[in-house]
Amino acid sequence: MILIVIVVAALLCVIIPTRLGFFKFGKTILGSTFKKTACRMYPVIPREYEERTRGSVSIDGPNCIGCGICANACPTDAIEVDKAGGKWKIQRMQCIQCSACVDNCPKKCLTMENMYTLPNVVKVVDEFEIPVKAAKKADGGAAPADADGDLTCADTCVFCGLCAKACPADAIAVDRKEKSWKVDTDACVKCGACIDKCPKKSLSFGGAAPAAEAAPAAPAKKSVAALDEEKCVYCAACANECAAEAITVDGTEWKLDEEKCIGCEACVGVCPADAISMKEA
Amino acid sequence: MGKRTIVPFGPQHPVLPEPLHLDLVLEDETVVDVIPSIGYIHRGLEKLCETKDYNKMVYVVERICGICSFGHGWGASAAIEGAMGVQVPERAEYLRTILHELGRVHSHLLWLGLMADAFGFESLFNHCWRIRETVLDLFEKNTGGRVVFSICKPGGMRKDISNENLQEMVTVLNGLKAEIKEITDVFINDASVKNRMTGVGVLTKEEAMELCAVGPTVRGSGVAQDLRLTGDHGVYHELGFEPVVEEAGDCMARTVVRIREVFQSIELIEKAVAQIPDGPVDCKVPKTVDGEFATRLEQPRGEAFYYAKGAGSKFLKRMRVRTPTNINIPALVKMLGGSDLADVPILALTIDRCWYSPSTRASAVQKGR
Amino acid sequence: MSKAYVTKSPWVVHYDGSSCNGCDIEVLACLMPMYDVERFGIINCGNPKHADVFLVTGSVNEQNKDVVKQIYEQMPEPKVVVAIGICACSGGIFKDCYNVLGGVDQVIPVDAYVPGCAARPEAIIDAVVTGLGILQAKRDAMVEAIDAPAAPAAAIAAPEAPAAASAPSEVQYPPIFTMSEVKVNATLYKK
Repeated sequence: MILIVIVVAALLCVIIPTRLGFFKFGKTILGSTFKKTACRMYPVIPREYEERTRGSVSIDGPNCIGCGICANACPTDAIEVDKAGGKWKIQRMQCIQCSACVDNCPKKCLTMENMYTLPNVVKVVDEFEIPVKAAKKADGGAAPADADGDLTCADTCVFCGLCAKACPADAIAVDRKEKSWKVDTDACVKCGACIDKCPKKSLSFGGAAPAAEAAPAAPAKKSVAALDEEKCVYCAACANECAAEAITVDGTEWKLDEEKCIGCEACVGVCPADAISMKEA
Repeated sequence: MGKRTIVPFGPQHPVLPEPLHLDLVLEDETVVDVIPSIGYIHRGLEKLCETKDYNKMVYVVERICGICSFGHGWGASAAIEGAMGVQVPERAEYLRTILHELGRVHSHLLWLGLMADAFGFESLFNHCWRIRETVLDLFEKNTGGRVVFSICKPGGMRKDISNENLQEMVTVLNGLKAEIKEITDVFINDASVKNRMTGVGVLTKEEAMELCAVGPTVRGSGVAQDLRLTGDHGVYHELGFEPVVEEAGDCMARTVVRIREVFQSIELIEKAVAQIPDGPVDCKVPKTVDGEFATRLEQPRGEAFYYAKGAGSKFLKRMRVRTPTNINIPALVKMLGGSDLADVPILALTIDRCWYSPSTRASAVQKGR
Repeated sequence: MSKAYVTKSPWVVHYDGSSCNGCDIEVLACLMPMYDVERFGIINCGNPKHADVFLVTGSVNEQNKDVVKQIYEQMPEPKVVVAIGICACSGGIFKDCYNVLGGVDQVIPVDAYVPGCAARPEAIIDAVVTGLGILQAKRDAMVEAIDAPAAPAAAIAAPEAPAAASAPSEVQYPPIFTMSEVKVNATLYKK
């Protein structure tokens, strides 16, 4: 009985003023009294993050090659790579969680975790162990691909330019017409991305034979050129451009030798009719 | 003549989220003159373009303001793309427009809450920000960050957003419309709110144009000036956009402009998601910047200006950003003249401050436009 | 002196020391219904003279240096400073700017650092909880120094003791509020 009186009185106190033009918010406030709380109850109920939430950076230590590209890409200079000492350091209180390091890592050993760095009473610097380069050279034997020499290109090069496109430091310059291949050894960070990408396996460090630590398998998915015959005008620009001489254009016949095709996409770029695309072999 | 006192307002004040200093010259309780002092947020970040290459500069410019952060990232990227002479793919333009409008919804909801706090209506403040958290969840799901997104880059977007996620965004926003309407009805119809805001801080149409006000400040005074009409940026010309204009010129008019813009932005997002084409979201950009370009964007607060100049290296030679609040300060000073002391926090908020002061250069005022 | 539980309802003063506002709106989001630190008795009072915890954001610039110092000096002992966001910890992305001092600890002593750009509300709540442990320890140290039967010199030196005790490497501060002490039926709040 008393409850009914209270409820009726509350409703009157809300409805009449609302109609008169003040206390318009009464309905919402009364509703909030009885609805479930909107609060996330944070410390009691742990938070679940979205897939893309940028929390903090973590590294897969054993796979890191110490190239330093992440440190160059970091806008706040939070990362420090000590190749000789085998340490990868990140100042947690300087990281803006932009994922620039994650995107630029040639070995894909950095990940952006969902969990944020916890607050602390000191400025946290996290250190991780990475493989040390200098120790391997002392072992002797055939110099592995990551030896401490300069990048060299063997005579099997076809000047396709894939290494230059893969280089994150823009250290390689390839001119297909002049048949020249040049590397800026100061800019080269020895990450090995070009060695992985070269279809003819002509690149290595230190001038040693590249076979010692050749690519573990042939590129798993090779892509080759494919023609859209309706668009093709049979101008043979692609055949002239092809560094591996895989395309022949004979009158109105376009032929591709898939064995020779190295997937450098030079024909795609030069076609005036946009008739060529890449497909998986 | 009454006795004059000078009361300092700020830089630390419960109603101000950022530092601003106003020396209020009072006669009894009426403000007769005001001397603003800005520069508390001057960090000198434009000089960083000498040591950070153009990719890193986008992250720096994004952090000029955390509330309109996407717009700054877009403006910096657009200025650099223009200097390089690069055209981004259409899907990237659509995504940028959608995220920018979502940022506008977020910014106006935030502002509505702060405005309610300024005249003491804390429960309304809490409800506005509760709704805003749903918008922040949408941001986190799609871009990874709640406040600063780091998703724009010169050449397009760093990540694609799937069509399912975009559809979900539209569904969530449409679901919020009823709640937003409930809250904004209080702003427009409640007698106590009307008492605090109607007739306060009147800026006539001529004054607004003479003082070069921008954004909702000028649209609340009857001038239909909105950069989204020019078609310089985004895909607004394909979405059938009309600016929101109110005639009264007081605080209530500016509030109504922002409320209507929230609903307009939700409609624009819905239309854009229905029309968005498939395709790549980024394109190749050259490694160096050679050339100069200037662009303007309609931020939630008004017109923001971005200029980039490169001279053939990966470091920009000059990057200049001019945020809308810098231009609205003369309008603020004009509005404060003759107002009550109790209205000062409301007026300081009504131009929607975002105090970034890269330099102490004065803005030239040109008569007639 | 009686043992007042200052950490059961700490009042907060917030100041933006040249920040972009990202961390400031996350601080205000903590006070809003979704994160609701008012459950812990925390109120954002605008006056430093009423506050226990000072939340600072932003890499402090030359113009703001005196303001931050003044707010810190107006707060009564014991007090705790929490630097929110990487700009307040070390200058962040603006560290090399000519006008930036490089973080709040260049101006006033800081007790807890919160990383993140912008710092998440969850991280801010974690940091305030850490700060509360430090606050209680400082209060206890203050009370002991005043109650202890020492020479008058010690009594005058008492206000200095909390400042000296704030060096984190020397003293271990027990957290006053740990998750294990919270006895709430979490299933009530599951969605």
